[in-house]
Amino acid sequence: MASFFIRRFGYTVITLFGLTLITFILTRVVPGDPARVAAGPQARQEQVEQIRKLYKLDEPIWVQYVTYMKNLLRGDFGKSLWSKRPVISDLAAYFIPTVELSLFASFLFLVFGIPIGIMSAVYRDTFIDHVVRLFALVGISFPVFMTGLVLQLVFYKILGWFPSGGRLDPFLIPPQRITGFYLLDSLITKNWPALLSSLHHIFLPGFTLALGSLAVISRMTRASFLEVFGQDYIFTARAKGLAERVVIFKHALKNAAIPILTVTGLQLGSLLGGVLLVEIIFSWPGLGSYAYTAVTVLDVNAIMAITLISGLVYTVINLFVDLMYGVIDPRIRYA
Amino acid sequence: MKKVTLLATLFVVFAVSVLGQVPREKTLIIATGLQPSTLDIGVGYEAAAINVNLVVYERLVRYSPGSVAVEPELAQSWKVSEDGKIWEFKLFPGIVFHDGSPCDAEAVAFSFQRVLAINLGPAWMFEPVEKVEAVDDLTVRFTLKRPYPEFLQVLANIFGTGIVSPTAVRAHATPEDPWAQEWLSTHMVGTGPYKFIEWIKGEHIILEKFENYWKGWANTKNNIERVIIRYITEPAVQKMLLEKGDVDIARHISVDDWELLKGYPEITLVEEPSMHATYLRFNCAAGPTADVRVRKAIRAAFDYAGMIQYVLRGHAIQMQGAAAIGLPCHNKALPIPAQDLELARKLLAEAGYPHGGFMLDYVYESGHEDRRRVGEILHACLAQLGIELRIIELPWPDLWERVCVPDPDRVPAIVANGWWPDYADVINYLYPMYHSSQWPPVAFNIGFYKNEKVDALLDAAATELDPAKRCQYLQEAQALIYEDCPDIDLYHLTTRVALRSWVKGYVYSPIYTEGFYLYDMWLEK
Repeated sequence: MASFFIRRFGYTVITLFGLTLITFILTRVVPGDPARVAAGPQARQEQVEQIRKLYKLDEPIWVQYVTYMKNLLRGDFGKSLWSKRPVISDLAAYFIPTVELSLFASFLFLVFGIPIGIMSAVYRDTFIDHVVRLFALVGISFPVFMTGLVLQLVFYKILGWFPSGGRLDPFLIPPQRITGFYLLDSLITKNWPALLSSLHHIFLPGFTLALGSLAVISRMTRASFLEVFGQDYIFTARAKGLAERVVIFKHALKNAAIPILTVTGLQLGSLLGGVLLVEIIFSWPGLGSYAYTAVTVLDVNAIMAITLISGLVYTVINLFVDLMYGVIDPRIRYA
Repeated sequence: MKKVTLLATLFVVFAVSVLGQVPREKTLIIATGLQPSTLDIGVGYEAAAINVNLVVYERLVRYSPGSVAVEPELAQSWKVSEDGKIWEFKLFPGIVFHDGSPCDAEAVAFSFQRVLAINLGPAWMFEPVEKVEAVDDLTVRFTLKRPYPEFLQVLANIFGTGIVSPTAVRAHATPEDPWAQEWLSTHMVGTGPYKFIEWIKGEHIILEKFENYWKGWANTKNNIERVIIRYITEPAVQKMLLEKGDVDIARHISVDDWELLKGYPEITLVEEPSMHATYLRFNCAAGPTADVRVRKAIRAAFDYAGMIQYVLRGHAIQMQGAAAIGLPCHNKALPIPAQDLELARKLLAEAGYPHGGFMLDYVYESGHEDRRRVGEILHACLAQLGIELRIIELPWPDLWERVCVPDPDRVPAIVANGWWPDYADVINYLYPMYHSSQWPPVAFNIGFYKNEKVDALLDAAATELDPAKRCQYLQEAQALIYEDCPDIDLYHLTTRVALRSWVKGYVYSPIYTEGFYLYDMWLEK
């Protein structure tokens, strides 16, 4: 197991190194002068040069890369050309809300998606199955921005049950910062109004973001379980008179888990893509709008940082999924 | 058990939805799509920060609500030496910063010294300033390198002019960051009627009434205790919030939604022409458009009425010359062009292209749908003259790379380009865009336009202290520029602000377009 882990970890490090190299080169060779964009159209040439020097954009690209990597290893992503602040402080502000929203959405699609899929498989071709399949079809077919706007229209404008967006009621003081996650911080500090307000605010965007993945997971779970239900060992288990609960959760679940785990990993990664639109619709102060601005103003350091963080999240998820394969199916460890 | 879980879940959702409501009387909520990159008054140089800068910071002078006339703000009076190089401003007494420290002449001098030392963003406007110093507690003196007739206009502009608390700066300065740029990028300490409370990035900025505001509150109708500026990128969401009354002002409503909101009696819609100008800039130094007759032919061929009606759907006015209508020294005698295909054909024939027969590139910035559709209109108009137009969309950094190069042969024939003035003076349009010293890569004369007479007039206007003479120079320059046709002066977009009718006292500012004079506003709920 240890050598499997070390091997996979090594691949992850190589992938991330490759990502830094490719992204760095791309951000430096695309058309556009970041120093000029940062200085603004009216800036004098002297001001542009000052910015170029300040951000070391006047050095050869390989020198810039070496300097960047040295700083990166110390956790320094450089300064943003847009906000003129260290990128890490911008990331701290924008990344945590995105992670919180993504985790909440993951929680929703895992907690609801797998049981719904199992239920659909167990009650195959019944009314429940048809409803679940219809729900999955709608969930997969609806683009995330459409879902967001419809949910907002119904639950904010018409019913008034949920706020239109934001992370917390602006009339409330945010919970004391411990982790940066409002839900967690308000829970730790027992700030109940903030906890309720954060839950209230995260529900619609979280559900919007989760819906597509929830549909995919439930479909995959259903298919996977149906396949397992047809296996001889399930017939044996049932013939032995085991309770259906035991058959499902002890015998079927572990065998059906590999494809579900694969899809879960992919869906967790894809949340990072969908979160951008959800953040815009629900005015969620996350990485999406920051990434959009960074790209439009050619904020090279911010683009690098966002790409690396996203890449890191993606590779860590993949690493985790790979390791889980090994845990679930020991044959994979030794392959 | 399952039923209990379901009911519990529903109860939590319901409780959360009900308990989340908090009364918000005496709070003004503004929805805007623009979030500033920084709050540092010495660095920020973007429209997004105007709303907070206008009420948290104060300048020596400001633009009067609803006009471009300059009036006192922190300075009660000022005088300028005969040679125009020494400006002295006398401050009102008793002004205090939000941190309690006094705002005196030293503080004013410190703020400008900070902008000059940082030398970013708005600093270019203060390039003529040689030094700024406090003469006594209430008198601050600017010594200029040369006469700077528009200096008062520059001081009234929103960028780099707000006076920041030296105490706050010094308290947060470090050896690596002597001007506390990092701290001031997320905090504000000014003298304005509202003080900065918090900025949750991407979500909102909260301001609160400053009880010790030096002008006092007794003589105003203002009852706004708190201001929340919410960043709502999606215009459809802004509309929804406004309809529900969850925001009081929506600053970015789409054209379609604007029409729909016209039916709501409880919503007030304010629409005024802005000073923003959109041009089609010709390459005057290379290709067919180097010939003034070709440029004039294209100007004559363009369908202006169609542009205003179909592209802009009435939310713009056609320009008259290169400077904004309504500015002092704008040349009102200039013709407003209209489509004349006969004239266009005649001019083309004179230029040696009786049947057109050439292709031009038209470049515009991504995201500007209006400019794309202007390109389509131009394409259709030029097709009638036998000219093919290739429409190219580029993101801003790419577009800048393409047009801001010293070699005219590499620059596209036509570039759609917008211009926001920093201050309300015609020279802020003419000098950067038409003076030959401003050719790329130096500045914004991207069409390589050069007319020595225009240069001389602009140079004279740049130092002329007699307002009448200066106006004459600027108006002559506008006429010459119109005659040389280095661009097609297209339109001024309107600014649209939608307010709940309970918001009172709002006056549109043609120059602080994103801003609100909150001290003069109140709520009647």
